[in-house]
Amino acid sequence: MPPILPSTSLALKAGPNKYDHISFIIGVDSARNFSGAQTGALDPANGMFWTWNSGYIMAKLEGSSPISTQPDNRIEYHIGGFKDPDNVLQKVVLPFPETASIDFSPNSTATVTITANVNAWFNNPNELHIAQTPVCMTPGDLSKKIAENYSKMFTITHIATK
Amino acid sequence: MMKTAFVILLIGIFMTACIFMNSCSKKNDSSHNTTSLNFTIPAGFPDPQYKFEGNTLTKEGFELGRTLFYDGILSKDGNFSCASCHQQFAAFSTFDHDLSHGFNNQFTTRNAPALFNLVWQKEYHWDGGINHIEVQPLAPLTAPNEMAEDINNVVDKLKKDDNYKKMFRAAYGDDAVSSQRMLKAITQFVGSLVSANSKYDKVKRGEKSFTVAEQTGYTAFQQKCASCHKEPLFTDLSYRNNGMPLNTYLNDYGRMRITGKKEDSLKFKVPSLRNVFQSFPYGHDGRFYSIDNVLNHYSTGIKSSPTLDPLLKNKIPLTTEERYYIKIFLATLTDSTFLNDKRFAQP
Repeated sequence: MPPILPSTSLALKAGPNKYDHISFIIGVDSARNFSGAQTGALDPANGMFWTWNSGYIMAKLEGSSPISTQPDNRIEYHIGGFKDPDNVLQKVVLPFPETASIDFSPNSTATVTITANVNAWFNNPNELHIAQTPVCMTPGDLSKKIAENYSKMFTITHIATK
Repeated sequence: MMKTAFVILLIGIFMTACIFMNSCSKKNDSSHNTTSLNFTIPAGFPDPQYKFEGNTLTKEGFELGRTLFYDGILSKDGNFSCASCHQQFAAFSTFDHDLSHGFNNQFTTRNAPALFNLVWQKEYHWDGGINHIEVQPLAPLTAPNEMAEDINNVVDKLKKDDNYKKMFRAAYGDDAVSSQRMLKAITQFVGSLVSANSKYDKVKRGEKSFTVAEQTGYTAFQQKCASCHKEPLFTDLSYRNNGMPLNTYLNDYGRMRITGKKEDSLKFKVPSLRNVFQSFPYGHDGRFYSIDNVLNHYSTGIKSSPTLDPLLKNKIPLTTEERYYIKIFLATLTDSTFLNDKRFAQP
């Protein structure tokens, strides 16, 4: 097993209600790709912005693999594209197990642990072979396939309420 | 099963739910004094695309932008400012260079375009790859053969510089430096570069009149050139294949690199002809050294290909007289007020 990377925690507020799923979008919506110089999470200094073909890189995976034909066996997947037909925005919907729907009463909190399996980038459902495609740097079909893959990398592994 | 081991150096994923959207801070709107600048739309010009919304033009913002534009601090080795490829006397193009060059003695693959009347453009670069004026500077700043820098490095260098601290404070009310503030300030400067005081403009405003030769040239221009080089910007801002054969060293297919569409192969943005006598050489790769070369291309040199612009299917026949008078007319597009405007000069 590869080491588990440090987790990122996000705190969300939710109104009193019964919840049966959590959903989010991977990527930056179209309008924000046309809005000029931005700051905070969308600061281009974060390294998630294409400077030569304006638009955000929606997901990035970099590393090395002995079967990569690139210099230093590099692999580099920069996935982006916000205009049709190359739009890679992905909505992820993660249903809670039926027995675990979250019933928020005032002042209660719930912790939902979501685990991301990086292997999904390579085979779920589109097979990606590092030997053939060690690099993806432009919007297009390959980006879209990889985006479809990584949208399926998430699973809810634990829910705790208090 | 994937048998290949790999090391993940970085996984960055933007997950945007509405709550993570950060809005611009407005805390400094009225807490410090700035001198506002007016942007005037020249008579007869259309409504600009960029109206300095969220980036109110101020003297302090403009001056910060001007200082940044002329400062090599934006480049990795300190040698390349924006102005090194965009010189005022050449209408902010590179004087006498076909391909511009940058960091470590490298050529770029294109001729640096002249900079003026930019707020009327919706997209930037020969291929239109940049969709907003504010983010354009990031392209030369990070290109390895231009300024070769890293955005964070530039921000760090600016943070350490006392003069910039002062200027950021003057423009924004505090000395926090961010890529956003830097880009907006540069935009205040380059967006203010307006060229609209050539003899042509004075004739249009009724302040002067064309000579007979200029008028003859203007008439020929309107018949032979104006459908793409549309007044008053002298470009319709479209992307066209004008029959320049592919340079097989550069392999620059223009717009196709941005859209990924075959039908955009060899298309480049129609450049403005304002200040055309100052902005030679011509073409996206600067292959034409004189206006005569360009006119020869249109009358005899156009190479046919599937994406050739339909308007050029039969080339543009030009008589010797027409060439002569068209050049006389083009000289009326020289805007010496703009070329010598001290507001735009190196501070």
